[in-house]
Amino acid sequence: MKSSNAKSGDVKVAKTSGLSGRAAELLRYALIRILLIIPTALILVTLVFFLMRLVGDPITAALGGRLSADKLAQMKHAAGYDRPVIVQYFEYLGQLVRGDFGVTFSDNRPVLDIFRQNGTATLELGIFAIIIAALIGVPLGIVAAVHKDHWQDIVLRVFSAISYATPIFFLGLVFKLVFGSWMGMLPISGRASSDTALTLTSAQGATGLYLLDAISLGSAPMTLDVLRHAVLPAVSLGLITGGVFIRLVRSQMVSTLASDYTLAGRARGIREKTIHKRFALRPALGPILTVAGLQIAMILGGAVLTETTFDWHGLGYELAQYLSNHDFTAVQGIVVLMAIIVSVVNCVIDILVAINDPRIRS
Amino acid sequence: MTSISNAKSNDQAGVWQRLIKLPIIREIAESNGAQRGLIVTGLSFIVLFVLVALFAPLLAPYGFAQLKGADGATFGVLEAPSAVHPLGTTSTGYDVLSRVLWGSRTALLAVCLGVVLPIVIGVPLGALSGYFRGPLDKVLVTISDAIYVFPTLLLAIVVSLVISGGQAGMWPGLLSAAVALSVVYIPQYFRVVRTEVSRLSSEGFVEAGRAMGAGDLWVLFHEALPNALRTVPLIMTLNAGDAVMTLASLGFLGFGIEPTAAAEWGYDLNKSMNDVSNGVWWTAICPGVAIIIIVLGFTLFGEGVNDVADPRSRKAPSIAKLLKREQTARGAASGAAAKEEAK
Repeated sequence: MKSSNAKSGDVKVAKTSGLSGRAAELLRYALIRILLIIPTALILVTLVFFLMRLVGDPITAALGGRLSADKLAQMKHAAGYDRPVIVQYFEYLGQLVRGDFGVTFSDNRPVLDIFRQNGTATLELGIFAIIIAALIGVPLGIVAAVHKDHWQDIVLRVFSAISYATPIFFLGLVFKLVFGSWMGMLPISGRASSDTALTLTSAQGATGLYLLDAISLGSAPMTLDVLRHAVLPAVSLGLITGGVFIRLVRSQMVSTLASDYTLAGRARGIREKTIHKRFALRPALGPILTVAGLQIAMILGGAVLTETTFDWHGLGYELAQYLSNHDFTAVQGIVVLMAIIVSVVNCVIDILVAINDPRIRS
Repeated sequence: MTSISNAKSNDQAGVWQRLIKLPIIREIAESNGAQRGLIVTGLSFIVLFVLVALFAPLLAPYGFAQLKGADGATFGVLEAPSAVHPLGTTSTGYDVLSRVLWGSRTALLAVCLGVVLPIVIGVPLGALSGYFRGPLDKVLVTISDAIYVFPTLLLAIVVSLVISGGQAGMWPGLLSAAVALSVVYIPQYFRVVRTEVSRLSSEGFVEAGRAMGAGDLWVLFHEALPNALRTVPLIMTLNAGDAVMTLASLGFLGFGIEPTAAAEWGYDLNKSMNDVSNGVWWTAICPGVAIIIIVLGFTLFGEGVNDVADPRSRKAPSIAKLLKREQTARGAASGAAAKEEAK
């Protein structure tokens, strides 16, 4: 994993600093790909907007039954929800373009503030989970591919099938039960102990990523506290995602290992280890990265469940809270924002893949 | 060997030859060791699930919303597993075993609805789009690509809001899971069918149909589509597993079915969150394991079948096997000859 990463980094440097023609080609590809975010995001925003409007307007959803019909109509008129949906739609698009994702109905909080305050929690959890998933998935996937149809492969396939079949919140509950309630080894909710959290959030220049903040404060006990809180949620999310990575790495490696150039390499007497790394893993990296990018979407979805299970106050946790409060403006804002994040991440992944594989650019 | 026994074994071989052409059985017959293990394990989990769902009223000791025993005494709350309650009771006082068994019915309904709905819409849409192409095809492809990258669960949440407004009886709850799944899976069926149909429509046998004066729709649905459905079963297994998962996830987030309307595992898992913090295991473990068994069944089955269909993962038959096959073929031929003679 480490060596292959370093290698793709080398390639990047070589390509951009080297031939200018290739750099220009890459740049053009990147620009087109970035422009393609717009239709994707637009479709998702439109889908979410019209689906949400099918429910009715946010005011009726939140207060319906508690207010008289007159009062409701009055409030709806004041907020502009009695106008044609298509007018509201274009108005909403206009707001989005200006970077205004709306204000929550229940507590008057701009959605962008939720994003700023809780987004870092989700980002931190996601990064931990991806690291764990890659640490599990890439080496084990290689093992499975190399020992295809032997016991190692069968064990790993069963493992990845089970991890796919396990609801992430159930795994979280089992971890809470075993490591929290029974063994008392690890905290089972929150991102940090309350005093640590207070110190970290009020510290100057806080990034919101607790681990980074704790390290920059130079406090070992706080760093440890943050890490201990992160173990169970990150491992739950990471294990489930890791199962997908194993399958992915395995299937890609199986086809590269069976290719003619691998056979040619073997015929030239190149060591098996070198073949695995150079001949089989390198070309498999592109598809692996692409699908790994799609996993970001899964991690965001999984984060809603993981965060609810572990009281991890990220975007997903907030989304679940607003959902149970029937605050539809908040739900719409958060979901639309997540849709845009997913589109952007996929774009970045595609560009990374293009850097690794020149065939895609042309 | 008498000719009669030969003829008999020949008849059996004939039955076997016909059986072997049926789906599933053909896959099992063509599989190698590991693949057969996957298919048979998966299939037995699925069969177990369907049987439990069908016979839940007979199997379950109590009703899913029953709070009192036959003697009129209220069940205890969070009672540990015992003879009266083999898997204990929940924090509300429901019998856990009964809720797990009854829950399989709800899950089975979710699977049926959640698989049929996307297929009924996705497959014809993909076929039409792939056959006629044109601007509508481009639009549909773009939309399905966009939905493909979107987190499934977020879409499910939005859809369940639309359908049930969040609080639900059994049918609204099931329907919202099914429609949410449709939004996610229609694009998947659409993609594979569209690609296959558009590839097939330039092939000889489809063109022959057109040349003979058959209408476009007839050619599409009689010639191209039946041949384009190869990859659909694999998506179906994923789809079925996801149906159980989506229903449970929505239930876990509090968007599920009321406990008095039907037993639903996600709801039970949500309620078990507090129990887990207090070290109580039976309310969480039992419904969770039920979910895993079912989804695992669909996953293993799908993976096994997919593997059999994939020529790369097929093992070359050994020389010994090839020889044996030849011998049996010869035996059958001579058996047939013997039969002729007997007549």
